[in-house]
Amino acid sequence: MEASERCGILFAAVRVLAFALSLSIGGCAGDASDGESPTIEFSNTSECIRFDGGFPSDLVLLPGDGGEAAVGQVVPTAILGLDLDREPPRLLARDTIPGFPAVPCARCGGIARVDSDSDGEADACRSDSEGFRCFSPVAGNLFAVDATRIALSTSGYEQVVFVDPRTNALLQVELDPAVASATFEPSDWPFWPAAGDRPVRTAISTRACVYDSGLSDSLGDPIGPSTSCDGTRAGFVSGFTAGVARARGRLFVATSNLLRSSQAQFAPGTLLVFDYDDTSAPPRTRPDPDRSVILLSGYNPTSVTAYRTLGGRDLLLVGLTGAIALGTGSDLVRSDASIDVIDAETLDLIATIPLGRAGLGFSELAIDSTRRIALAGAATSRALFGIDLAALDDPALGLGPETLPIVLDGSDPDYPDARLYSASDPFVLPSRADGPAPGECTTQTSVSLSRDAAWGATSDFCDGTISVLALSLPASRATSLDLDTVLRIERVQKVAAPLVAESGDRLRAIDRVLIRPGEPGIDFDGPDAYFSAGLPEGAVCGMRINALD
Amino acid sequence: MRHAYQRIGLTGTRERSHARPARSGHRARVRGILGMLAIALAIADASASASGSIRAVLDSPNGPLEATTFRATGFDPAAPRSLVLWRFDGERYLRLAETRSASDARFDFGLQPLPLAHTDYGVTGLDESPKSSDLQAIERRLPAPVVATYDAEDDVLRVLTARAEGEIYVSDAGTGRLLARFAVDPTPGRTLAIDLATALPRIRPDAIAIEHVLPDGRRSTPEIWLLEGTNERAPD
Repeated sequence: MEASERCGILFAAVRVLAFALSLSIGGCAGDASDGESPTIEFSNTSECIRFDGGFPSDLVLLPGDGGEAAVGQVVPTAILGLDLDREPPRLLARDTIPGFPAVPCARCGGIARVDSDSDGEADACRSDSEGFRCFSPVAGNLFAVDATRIALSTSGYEQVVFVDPRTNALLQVELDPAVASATFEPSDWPFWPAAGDRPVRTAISTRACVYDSGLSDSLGDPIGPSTSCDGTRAGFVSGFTAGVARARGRLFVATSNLLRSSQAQFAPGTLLVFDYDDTSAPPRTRPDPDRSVILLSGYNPTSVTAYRTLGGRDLLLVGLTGAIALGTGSDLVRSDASIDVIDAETLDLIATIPLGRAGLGFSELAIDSTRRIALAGAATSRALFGIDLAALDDPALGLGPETLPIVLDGSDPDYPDARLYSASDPFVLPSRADGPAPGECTTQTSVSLSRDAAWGATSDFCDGTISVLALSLPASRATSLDLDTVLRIERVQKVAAPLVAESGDRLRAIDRVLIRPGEPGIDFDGPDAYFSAGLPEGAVCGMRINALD
Repeated sequence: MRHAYQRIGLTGTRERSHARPARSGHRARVRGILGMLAIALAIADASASASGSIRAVLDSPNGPLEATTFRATGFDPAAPRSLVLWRFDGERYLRLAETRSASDARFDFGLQPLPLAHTDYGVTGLDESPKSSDLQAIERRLPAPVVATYDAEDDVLRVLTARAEGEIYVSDAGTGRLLARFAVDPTPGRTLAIDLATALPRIRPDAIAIEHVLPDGRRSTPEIWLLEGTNERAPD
């Protein structure tokens, strides 16, 4: 008998005895296919629902009591609604979830392809016929329009598609574009029907011609006329649909306008504006005829967050990540990040908050329960960034004769400095001792803040950790924030394996983090925080921060 | 102890049952001793869980091979009692859900996601070892990769796959001739870059078929991508 085998037998014997003991806590060791004793994951480890596709595209709470969420599965595309009152989370669906419908598409190879906008034609075929190659939709950000309707951004086939999180069924909208006017040219929206047609579809196209003089891309090269648009005007076609938000009866959709991924080359960021009337059935929508495209101050907008000031003014906070390259390394960020502030009523870009070479994260901003600060994760670093929302309290901000956007970085004594944590002063998160070396894995972070109390949580993609944050905010909004005391790391929980080779097939690559609203043990039982993971497969896992086992 | 083991397609048409191969030599004897010990433990446990030795069985799921979910229903001879649904990932048993079997012996864990790998599912009583379950492997069709971006200037495709493992095969869509293979890197890259200029230096078909092949041999349906600037390139 080999020594290793003896050890194996002894180990197995110990496991059998452990098995007897473990019966009292609700589970037991079993037998693996290769004869080795397997382990069992008990409830003291992360409780996860696991699904296809790896790297979920997004994870959001559904409106309501916080007991439901939705996650985006990328391949194949599906929106999975989750019941958070079950542990692990359970699907809201009661019947088998179908994929999006598909129809044959001769011009793109003859195979059946998805028709997600329900126009009767495969998306890839439609895309190719409009000059944008045979792209099918790829799932991106999720936005919960209401408890039964998710707006899913897709790239490739650029649109926002409406999906029922309980069934993954496509949901209808009526497209009702305006007639041509001085402020709206229908031909600039090539995938939209002619005015008056009013077809019922399940998605709204986000391909639009964007014009302006003096445009330059993120490499500094001038942008000339696009062959897909008015050939006499400098411009480009919007694409790479990202975050969505809703305010003042409108949907706001960011498009990051990637031109060339290998060069991190982006056209200027844009925010598309759609009227959205859900008092009719199905909801009626169209590009806003007065101002359908807002040109942003920088490159690569990835998130849009609706924010209502304490005075009741509705604003959109657009997170501009800045041009970033794909890959691993320290020099991926190629242009500055900022948070642009849009007035949801006037649709003006009223202010911008420069954050330097931060590389903002892709998920929507986390706003604390007192609406004093907004935090953003990072796309390429172990850090958080943030702004002081008190700088937006002035109800007249951006409504005067001043040149817009106002730059809220303290450079103008007439305006406050809204920066809290920027590239020059990031909130740095701790790294895990057994995590990957910086050159092996470029991490990203996501952050969520409690709606009810002064704490939050942030994820670390490479390390597999969740850092629990404690907030210390002054009672008065007039009191300036102290960078060193506003945020504090209370503890770090290892919730998944680090992204190192030794981690094998274990749960890792954590991404979005959510905090369930309400009081644990009173409003709900079970975990009070959730995170998504991308490897070895897609997963959403519950964890306890303030909740008891 | 052995698993009763079934491999079932979602349509239920490929159902078959096979026991695990017998182990040999002293290892088997030692296993036998351990097995007896486990049986003794199970008997001891029986006083606490009289119904524990009766296996609950999952129904053969019905649905399309592309379905990403299945309804975990079945029959429990020891009903009514509390049940646990397990998934076996090759090393660990993952507890997926709990339910109770009804007095008519039926149980329903509701709809469950159906990932592509490690789709061995079993059902036990609440306090039973998952190894006592009848494992069923539920097969799914591997989805085609999705083209996320195409850089025309660089001639680089970026594709997404349903799992971060295996290989991508790039073939001539017209002839089926394999032109290039790429490993799907399980490290954090969400997309796999296919440099067509490098991968197809000489042959430039009208269209390529992009397939995902898993280590277990499962092969996806192809994604077809039309190429511009076709025709054979001149040798370097």
